[in-house]
Amino acid sequence: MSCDTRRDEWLAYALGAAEADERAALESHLASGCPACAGHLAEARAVVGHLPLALTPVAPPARVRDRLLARARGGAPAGGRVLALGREWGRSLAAAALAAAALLVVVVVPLGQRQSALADELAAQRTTIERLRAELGGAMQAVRLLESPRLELTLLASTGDSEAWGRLLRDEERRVWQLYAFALAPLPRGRTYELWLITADDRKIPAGIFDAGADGRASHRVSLAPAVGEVVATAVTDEPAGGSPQPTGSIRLVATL
Amino acid sequence: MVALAALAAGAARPAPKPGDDDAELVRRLGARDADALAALYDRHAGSVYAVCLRMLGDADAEEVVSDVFWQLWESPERFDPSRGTPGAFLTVLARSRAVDRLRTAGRRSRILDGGQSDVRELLHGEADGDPFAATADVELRRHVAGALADLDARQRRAIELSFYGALSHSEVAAALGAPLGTVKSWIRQGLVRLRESLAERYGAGARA
Repeated sequence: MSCDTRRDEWLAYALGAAEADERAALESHLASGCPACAGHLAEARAVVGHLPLALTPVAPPARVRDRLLARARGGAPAGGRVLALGREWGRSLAAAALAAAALLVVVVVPLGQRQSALADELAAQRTTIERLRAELGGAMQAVRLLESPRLELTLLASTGDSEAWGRLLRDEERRVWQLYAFALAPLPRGRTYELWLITADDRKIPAGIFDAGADGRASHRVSLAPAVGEVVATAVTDEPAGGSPQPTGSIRLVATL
Repeated sequence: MVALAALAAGAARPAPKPGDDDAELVRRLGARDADALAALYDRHAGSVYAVCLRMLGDADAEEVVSDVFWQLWESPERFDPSRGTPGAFLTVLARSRAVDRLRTAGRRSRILDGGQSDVRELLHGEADGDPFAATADVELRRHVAGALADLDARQRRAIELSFYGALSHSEVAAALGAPLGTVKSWIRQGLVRLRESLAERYGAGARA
């Protein structure tokens, strides 16, 4: 067989299509020192090496690049390569040490950071849940109030030249009151608003303290004890912080029921 | 044999680009320049991954991509510029690694599960735009894709099955249900035409 004929056989060889016996025969011939076939093989490898160029490139997931470059940047010891140690056992030892160090960096440190970050995240989520639960509770109480078959609405007016006013929703069935006040003046430090129930026998019963927001709005809820009896009027006064057992300050809002 | 010298010379010549070309990037790997590795990865990882996906599942394909670039990083001296471009070196190495994996695991190449050539898409204009526009060696890629698209579909399929499926002539014949002699002819004729087409390209380049 002339070596010109073998030229095409080397193509199949380089592709990987040659059967085992054909491969062995070609390799044995090459080993005998045929310069033409050495050239054929190089040429065939170049031809076959072009095949992948026809494939449409597909970008690998970003993590492949990230890991490769992290490994390359982290794994190169300063001042030279691990291979420079020369001896096999030295290489293995150095590689093992590097691997162990890499494991510490890659696994342990991020795990610690991750755990701490997770704890922070959990605490933040718990706070959010508590806030949402409180908001939902308030909203549900307001809804139940509106659903009451015996709902009364009373407007509270300002006693002075203030523009403050209030809206009082009274669930007479469950004896729950909900006050919404608007345009209340901000109180100086050490003062607070207090709600009063005024009974037919002119007792003034304290019904809780509340503060107005920066927007002048306030919301206050109270459940009336059965002992309170019939309430004929209500008022809001400003009192020392913590409230008073009997009204001492000026009346800010008032309404008769 | 007039083709050989031109082919080898052409294959050794990286795509002309301003600034750092492939050969320069590989040289910088010897100085442990990780930026050079990043640049080579950005240029060639898509081609390497495409080869791997022809043959392996996604997870194995990713590992082979990592292995191939890691080998280039660890032993850049193994890349021989006289035997082709870094892109060809990496893809052939990837194919070889993928063959090892298939044989070790006793698995079939993915291409046997019906993967068709995307050369077909190029030929029929089904691909979106020019898939090589943003890649290194863009002209060469277009040329090779065109040369393969010009082959008889059976020739192309037989070549791809052998290369990406790690199959011998007789195994390709069994896979295609075609006579052994016919399959041998398809593969030989297809590769000879590819060789001639490449020789023409590099020969023309050498004359220019």
